[in-house]
Amino acid sequence: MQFYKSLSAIVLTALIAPAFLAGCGGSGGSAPEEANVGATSSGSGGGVDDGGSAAGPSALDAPDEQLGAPPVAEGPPVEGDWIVVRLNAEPPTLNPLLEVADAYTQRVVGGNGGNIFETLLERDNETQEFKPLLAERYEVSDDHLRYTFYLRQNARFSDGAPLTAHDVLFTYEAIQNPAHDCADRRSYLVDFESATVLDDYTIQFQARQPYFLHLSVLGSIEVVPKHIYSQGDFNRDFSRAPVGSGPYALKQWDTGQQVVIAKRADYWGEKKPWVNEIHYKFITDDNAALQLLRRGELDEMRMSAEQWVRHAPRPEIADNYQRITMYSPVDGYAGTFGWIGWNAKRPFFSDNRVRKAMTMLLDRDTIGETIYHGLVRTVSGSMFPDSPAYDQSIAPWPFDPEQAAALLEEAGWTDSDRDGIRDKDGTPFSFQWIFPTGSPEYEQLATVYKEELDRAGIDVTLRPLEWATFLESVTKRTFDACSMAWVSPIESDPYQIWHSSQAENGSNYVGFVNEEADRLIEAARLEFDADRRAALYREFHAILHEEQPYTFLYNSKRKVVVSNRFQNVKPYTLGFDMREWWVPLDQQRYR
Amino acid sequence: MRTYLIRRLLLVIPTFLGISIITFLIVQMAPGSPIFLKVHKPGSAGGSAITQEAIEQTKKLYGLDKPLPVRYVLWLGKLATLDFGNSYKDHRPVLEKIGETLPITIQLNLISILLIYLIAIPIGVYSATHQHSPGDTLITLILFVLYSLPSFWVAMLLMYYFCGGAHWNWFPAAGMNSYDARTLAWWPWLLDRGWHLVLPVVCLSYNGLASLSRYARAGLIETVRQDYVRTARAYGFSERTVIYKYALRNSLIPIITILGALIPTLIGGSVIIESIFSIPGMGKLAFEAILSRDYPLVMGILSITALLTLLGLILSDILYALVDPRIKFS
Repeated sequence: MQFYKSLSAIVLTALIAPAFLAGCGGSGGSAPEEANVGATSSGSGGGVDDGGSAAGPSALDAPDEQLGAPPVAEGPPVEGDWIVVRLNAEPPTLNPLLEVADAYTQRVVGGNGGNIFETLLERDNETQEFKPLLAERYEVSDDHLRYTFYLRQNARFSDGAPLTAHDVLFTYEAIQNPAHDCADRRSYLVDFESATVLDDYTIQFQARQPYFLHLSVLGSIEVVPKHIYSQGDFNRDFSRAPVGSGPYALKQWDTGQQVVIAKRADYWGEKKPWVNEIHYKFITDDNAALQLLRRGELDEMRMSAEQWVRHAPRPEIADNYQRITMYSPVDGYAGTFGWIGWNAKRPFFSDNRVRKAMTMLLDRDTIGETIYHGLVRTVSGSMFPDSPAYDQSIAPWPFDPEQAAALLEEAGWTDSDRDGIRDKDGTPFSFQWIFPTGSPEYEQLATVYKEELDRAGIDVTLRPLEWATFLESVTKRTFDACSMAWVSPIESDPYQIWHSSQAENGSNYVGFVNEEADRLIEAARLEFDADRRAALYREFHAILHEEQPYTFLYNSKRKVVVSNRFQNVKPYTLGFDMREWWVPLDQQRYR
Repeated sequence: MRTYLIRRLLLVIPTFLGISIITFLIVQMAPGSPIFLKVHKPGSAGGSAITQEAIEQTKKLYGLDKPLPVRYVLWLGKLATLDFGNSYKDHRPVLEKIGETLPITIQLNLISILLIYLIAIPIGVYSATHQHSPGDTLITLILFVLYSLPSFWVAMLLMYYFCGGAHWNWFPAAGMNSYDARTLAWWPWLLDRGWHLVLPVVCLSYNGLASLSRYARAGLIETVRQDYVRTARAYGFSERTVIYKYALRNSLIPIITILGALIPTLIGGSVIIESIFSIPGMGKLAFEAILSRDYPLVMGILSITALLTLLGLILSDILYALVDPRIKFS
């Protein structure tokens, strides 16, 4: 539920997801499966139902499931109780503007709607359209350069101070200040030249050039109070003492154990939560978390595919928890889709026929059914699969070793020296494939793939690398093939991954350069009509499919259990909205 | 004795410098960089120039734009004022983070050391006095098996079988205390703490226990062959008096020296065990710091560990003098 992430073109995380972001892979690293993906078909116009002709496993179009939801309780919702949530690691900070703010920071301070901090706008749970939060309305000039926000006058920080345009301006300036550790957030604001306070409750931003994501960038900045955050070291002093305007405030932080946020009695907004406290427990080890869950000491936990299949159906979990699977695009926890990227600078991967052959040698459907237990779907492009930007009519390339062999021959990769490995111009087809360690499923997939490649006369060496080392290698382009995952938010801009300007230093690690794709990407950045923009992206999708700079892998479901004490647990496209959850009086556990 | 101590303590300084240079180089030259980890979410709006700018700004912020020797000298200069710098992760002082976690690790390790000695010495004595008996053979076999089991694997098995859920719900699976522990009176709190520490301490101890009891056995067998033991027996002392009054004390000398060497082993073990049992100690902190290339924190922890080890070695030598009156430091 990381609303802020939804503005990034695409946020990267590795297949092993959360753990290394928080810097703890290894034994505690979670499966790539933590990745979640996909979509609830709630009105994003995604066309899930028409099935997209997609090839592949039955899971492909499996709807979201919610097993074991409690019977609907009588009467109106009541206040009380806590939610106890597992986090895989301790958040480094509760200052969401800092570079080091990670998925865990976001989960605690709150994504869409916000727990501790609030944003100018929020997205509607059902439609994902923007609606007012701190700003009661906004205006965009016709040239899309001027954005004016009119703030509500009744918003209050948790210390009672009113939230005004000066706080919004301060927040904007804090991000822009190079002495602050906010390089990441700053890069989203680079197109803005100024912010001006028109009066106490009106602020205007001026951009240098139009861009379709400007509104969501501005609408999703967490506003911090000037009178507090301007006093002291911004990089450090507020990491464990957050003050925001949201419905919850920090109650306690026990280092290495838990963070507790408690409901504010004086919350200004309309959408007041029912649950009194949310306890985030830091449990690094997956097994330890599972044991706590079995004992009922956790109310919400995300599971790996392995845990989901082996442990979730057992009575001690199945009888006490709602089991929910959902495709959800925005979640700092994991990648939306995994991929194998072919470095176009290498002789073997410079030809798209070879790249297509590489894809046809990977039996994605069978692997999805077996290794991933059918909780995934194969994708054919990089946009969020249930958004109109994703062309449902483009099915992923099928598993077809014969055609792959034909393509390789056509591209000139033949076994001329009869040593069992194809070669061309004296170069044997033998390459290294790097991927981050700590994900058992991934290593299984790699092993299966290697066998298939061997049969096709291609020699691959698998090199699992620790995350930091892996990242250095992809950033410096010193790899033949690499794998990780990207998160595609609902509104995403492929510029960062696919535009030719990003091929040297940006996230276009594989060196994908294509004039037509550049044109479409650039046109889409200036297209403010959502339908027309989606049409451009669908054209772009066709190019990706034909060029195969990546072999696209899966979009996995997020698998979550929630204690069945809770009423009104709804899996929205943007994740859960815990503000809606409540527990009937006779079932409340914590006081 | 005093001059010896002073000399030993002064020797710590150059030793520590040597250690710090080597670790500094290893840590900073290892592949992977905190900068890539930090700026691994390239922005959407500005393209590569911005990413480069973000990288430069972040480098400057962490002082990584300076050459390696300069960085080392700066680090050392700050160290002289006991300033280990700030963690990259949350900008909090390294010393503060270590201060929060070290007591937990020390607590774990002290309990483990005590347990190791209390169990290993009697086992060693039994094995030595019943050399080659079936009992001795069985103990030897068990100890060798224990010694070869990797502790992370044992930890996971123990957790699987004894932490609720599928099998027995005897022990907690995570943390140092129950979540409601702060409301407890002191002795239930102590019980709660002890209950949480059982499995981690077992995992941390069994390996040292296995090796130490072998040392104890070998030491005693060696001593029993000495002339003075034969003399004691000839005087007609009971076997018990001979062993416990004369032989044992002498045989303990090598075991005590091992104490110093045990410290780094235990701290190394803490890294794994704390990570598995979600114990917020220095071991877990070290593990996370290394994975996130948090240089100041890694250096801080390594420095503290090195100092502890050096002091442990000095402590062994002092204990030497205490148990063996023949040793004089002069």
